Amino acid sequence: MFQNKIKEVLLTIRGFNEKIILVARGEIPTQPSLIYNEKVKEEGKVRKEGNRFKIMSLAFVLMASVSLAAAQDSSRSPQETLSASPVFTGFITQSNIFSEHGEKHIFDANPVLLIPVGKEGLFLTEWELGYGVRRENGTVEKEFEYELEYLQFDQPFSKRFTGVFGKFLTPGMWNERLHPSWIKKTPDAPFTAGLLPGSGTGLMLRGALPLSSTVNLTYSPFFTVATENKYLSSKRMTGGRIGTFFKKEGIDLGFLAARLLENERTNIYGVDLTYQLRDSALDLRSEYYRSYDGSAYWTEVAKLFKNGPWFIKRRLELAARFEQSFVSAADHREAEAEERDHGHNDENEMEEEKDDHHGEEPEVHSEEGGHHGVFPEADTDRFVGTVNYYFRDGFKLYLSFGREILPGANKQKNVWNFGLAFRFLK
Amino acid sequence: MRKHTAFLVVATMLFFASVALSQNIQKTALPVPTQIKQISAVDGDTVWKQQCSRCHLAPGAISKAKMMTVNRHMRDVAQLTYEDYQALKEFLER
Repeated sequence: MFQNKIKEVLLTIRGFNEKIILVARGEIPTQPSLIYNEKVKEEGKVRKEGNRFKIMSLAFVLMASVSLAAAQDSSRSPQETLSASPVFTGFITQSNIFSEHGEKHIFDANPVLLIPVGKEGLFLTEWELGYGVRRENGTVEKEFEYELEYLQFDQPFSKRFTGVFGKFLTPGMWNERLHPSWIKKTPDAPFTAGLLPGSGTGLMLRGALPLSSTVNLTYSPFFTVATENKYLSSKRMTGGRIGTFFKKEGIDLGFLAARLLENERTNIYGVDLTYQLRDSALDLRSEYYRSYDGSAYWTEVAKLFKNGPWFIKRRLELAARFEQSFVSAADHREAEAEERDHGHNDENEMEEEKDDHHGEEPEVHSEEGGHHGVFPEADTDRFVGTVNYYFRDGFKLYLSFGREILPGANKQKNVWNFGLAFRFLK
Repeated sequence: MRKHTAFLVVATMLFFASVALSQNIQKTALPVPTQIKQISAVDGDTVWKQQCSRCHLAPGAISKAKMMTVNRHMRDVAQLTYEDYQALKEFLER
């Protein structure tokens, strides 16, 4: 599967290169490249040529606009001092997960590109590439995945508003700030991350207003459109987060509200709290989300040792997180109705209805799901304890133990997770 | 398909034209003014301790040009006020 994925990516690049060559020669083709189409047919896959060219065209226009803006501003301000330069950064994670069901070894790479535009604008993009090997019940599965995390252009319009255009991460404490592997205290994404779409394509206005010398008000209303494009996939949604940051006390309190404007048209509400006791290097964080699928919360405490021998001081950190998820009653009723319609005797149907968590034995939910997280199919309690060791900022080794309990099904699972997270900056 | 191709050609020409135009601009560094104008009354070191340390420790040394870009990114992620951002810039980019 991994080799097929590589072939697929290479064929896409080759087909696009052929197109460019033909255009440069003036031989504008009236039909897509025959060589590329034959290869596609051999692979047995169906491509939507129109959508791909639209996306490529959009990317070129975006790059052209960015370059034009940069060129104009460079010409306007030759008296400025040193100009900002592009930055290639990102992080790499290698994690190893062990449980009673088996083991999984994952290698993730998240390259990030930052390109300054004009005086204060910024074009940025992040990709997530993941390769995993799972060994479970005697079988071995290999999987390669890639995903566009965000592709956006930030431009401040005034002191109080910055426009964000493109695909961006939806507002939220975990989603926006804590999800990178080199930042988060515990390796698993919380249950709340599965209740809100992690990203969307559209427009967001971000900003902050000083209410006083020690209190800031932050806001980030957004609107995203519905698109089924593979890279820019998005749901039609609107909402925003408003927060108050008490700078001196180290308290950040935020409220999120969002509404899905397609299908069921449901609402999502959230509250997040961060309290940092700087003197004792103790971080307390908590988040609560509620949506149509249910609700969940997590509470985390992390302690960084500020004193001690050199190999402990500002290197060793202990973190613990407890969280619970509650599947909505509506989901329970739907599952019961489905079971009544399908009957109890057909074993094949019972296997297919993996989302039916009433009457079936629900599985303890998977620990993966990327940084966007997975909302469990059944009510779940989870405790995770982690030891982080920082060789330096952005380079850490972690060891984590997690215990998941399904109270309704009387099932539990122990999960051991250890790995490395490394942030590079060039 | 012809519309897509024409669009692609125009966009590509725009892109290369703008890159060529930007290359003509002299980009050598000018001397840094000895007296930095204080835009904000906020102390940059305080902003660092209050805002940046919420998520991460102090990063290693990077060039000033790259720091300017990273600051823009952090300005949006951390949702800094204009005043805090200017103070942080003065603190980190000096």
